[in-house]
Parts: sequence; structure tokens; C-alpha cells
Amino acid sequence: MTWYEFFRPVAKGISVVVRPKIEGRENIPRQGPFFLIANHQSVLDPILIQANCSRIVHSFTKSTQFSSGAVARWLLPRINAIPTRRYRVDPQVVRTALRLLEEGEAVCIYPEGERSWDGLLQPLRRGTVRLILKAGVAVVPCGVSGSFQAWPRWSRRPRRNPVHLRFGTPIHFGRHDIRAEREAVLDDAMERLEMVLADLSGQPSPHRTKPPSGDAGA
Amino acid sequence: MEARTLSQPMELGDGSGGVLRYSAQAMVSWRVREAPIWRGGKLLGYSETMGPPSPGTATADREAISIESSGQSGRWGYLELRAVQTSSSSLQISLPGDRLVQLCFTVDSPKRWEDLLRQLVREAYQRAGRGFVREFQPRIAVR
Repeated sequence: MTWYEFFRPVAKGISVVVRPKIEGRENIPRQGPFFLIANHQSVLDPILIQANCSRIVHSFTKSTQFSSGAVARWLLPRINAIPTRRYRVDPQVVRTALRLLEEGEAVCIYPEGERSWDGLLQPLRRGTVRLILKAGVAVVPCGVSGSFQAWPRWSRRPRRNPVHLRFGTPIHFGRHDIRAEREAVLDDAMERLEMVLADLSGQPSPHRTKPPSGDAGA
Repeated sequence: MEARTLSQPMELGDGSGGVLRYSAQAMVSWRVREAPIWRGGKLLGYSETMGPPSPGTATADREAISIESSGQSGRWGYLELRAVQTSSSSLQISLPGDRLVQLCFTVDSPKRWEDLLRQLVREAYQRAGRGFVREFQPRIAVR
């Protein structure tokens, strides 16, 4: 038994308390590498996703967490957290992610780069989308809603609120090894991922310049 | 509960002599090292270790941010900053020379300061004709 499997019941226990509504679990590939990308509303998100994802996932985690105490430093690598330095370009996290994908693993990224301050979807980090395009594996989007109200970033305590996780159908961008190729499709890929995450989480896209259909003229 | 929008542009207060500045007390920590994180004999990545926090003051004006603390102090023009971002309840600023400072404001919000600095950085880049800043982390990037 791995440490991940040992601690998974803890995450499942928290999930039982929160009782999130899960949709689209059948979209998670049963085997093979993929990126799981999710919007980030709350500290609950990684727990709920890892508890309810049928595959073992390795999650990008801000590096500061690893130095927040001896317990965190010991525990986080064992539950498949990957330290990510957000205050500088971090080539090691790219190498680690590509290695795990080559080994057939699933890698979870929160492409907004941080928890939302207001519950709204933030623009995605371009470096994350570049990594997705370089890897060329399937991308499973996951929209989280309600967890901001359950435990917003600025609150010390959680509260009861319905939480919804929606796993979308996998997206295939193809592999773009050459930098010029990646840059050529980067904006389109970003816009598509933002639209999908916005739809799955029931929020406006941060780059949507006009009202979504149905809202216009209301 | 309604979502609260905190990312509105901030107005700088008028200081004496017509100088625009904004100041707040903070606990100031500087990164002392980065440590590798290993798992199963393989390198996963690195995490930073911050030094002990010391009381200090952050002051932002039109041209630069000044950080004064009992440890280190300095003043950096906005074009010199490498990245600006919040981390939990702190503000992290990447500085030239691969330095990282973390400000934990005593009575102010890290989000307010992030918004303030990002606005000032954008203005500085525009004044210098260096384009529109579209990302502030992991590095300040323009288009």
C-alpha cells in the first residue's frame, strides 16, 4: 500500500462530510497519462478531487506549502504533491510533470495559479497551457463550484454549502514539441480551456468579451 | 453568499508635498535558501525556506517600492521587479538577484497590495514604452 492509498480515506472522509455532487466521472481515463485541470476556489478542491477521481493523481502544489512545517514536508511528497515555485519560472516542475506523464501517470494542475479571491475564474497561466501543449496528452477539465462559498480563501473556518465537481470530456490538443508551434496555438488553446472550465464551473470566462448567448438582450 | 470582487483598481492617497505614496506595516521575511524535494530517489522540485520574520514597513510610490526592516532594506523601481503575487495571507515579491521577500501585513490586505503593486508596475511599463503587462507570476511578462 502506498502512502497515497493510506491517506486517501482521510480525503474520502472529508468528502463524505462535504458531500459534493459529482458528474462526469466516466470521462476520467482508466489508464494512460492525462492532465486533470481544475479551477481553484478553495483549499477543499484538491482534497475533493483526489477523493473523487478514480485515478491516482499527482498535483502541482505551491512550494511554500512544503516548508510550512515538518509534517507538511514529510507528508506532501507522499500524497503525490509536486512542489511548484510560483515566484519564478520553474523548469524542474516541467521536467517532473513530463516524467510522470511518460510513466503513464495523471497530473493535476490548477491553471489559474492560485486560489480565487472572489470565487470567479481567473485567467489561466500561459506557462501551464504551454506545458499542456508540449506534453500532448489528453486534458480532462474539472469544474468546481460551491467550494468558494464553503471555504473562501479569506475565511478561517469552513461552512456548509453544496459543492459540485463536473468532469468534462477529454480534450486533445495534440503534441507541439516545437516552440513556434506551441506559440501559434497558445491563445486558442487558452481560450478553449477557459471556456470549458467556465462552462463546467458555471462561471463567466475571464476573457469573454461579450455576454454568453442567452444573456444578450436580457 | 455573494462573491466579493476585491480586484478593483486602487487609488493612491495624496501624501505631503503632492507625493503619492502608500505605506503599511508588515512582518518581512527573506528567502534564505531553496531545498530539493525528493520522492523515491527522484527529484520532484524545490521549496523555499524563508528567514525569520522581522517587523518592517513597505512603502509604494509612483516610482518604486521601499521595504525597510530590521533585517534587510532597499528600494526597487517597478521595472526591476520580477514577479508579484499573493501566497496564502502574504505578498511575495521577486527581486533582482534571485531574491524573494515575503510581506505579511499587520493591518492590511495582501490582495490590496497585490492589486496596488500590479497597477503601479503596469503604469511603469507603459510609461517606459515596454508594453502591457499581462502576467505577474511566475514572471512579469508583457505583450
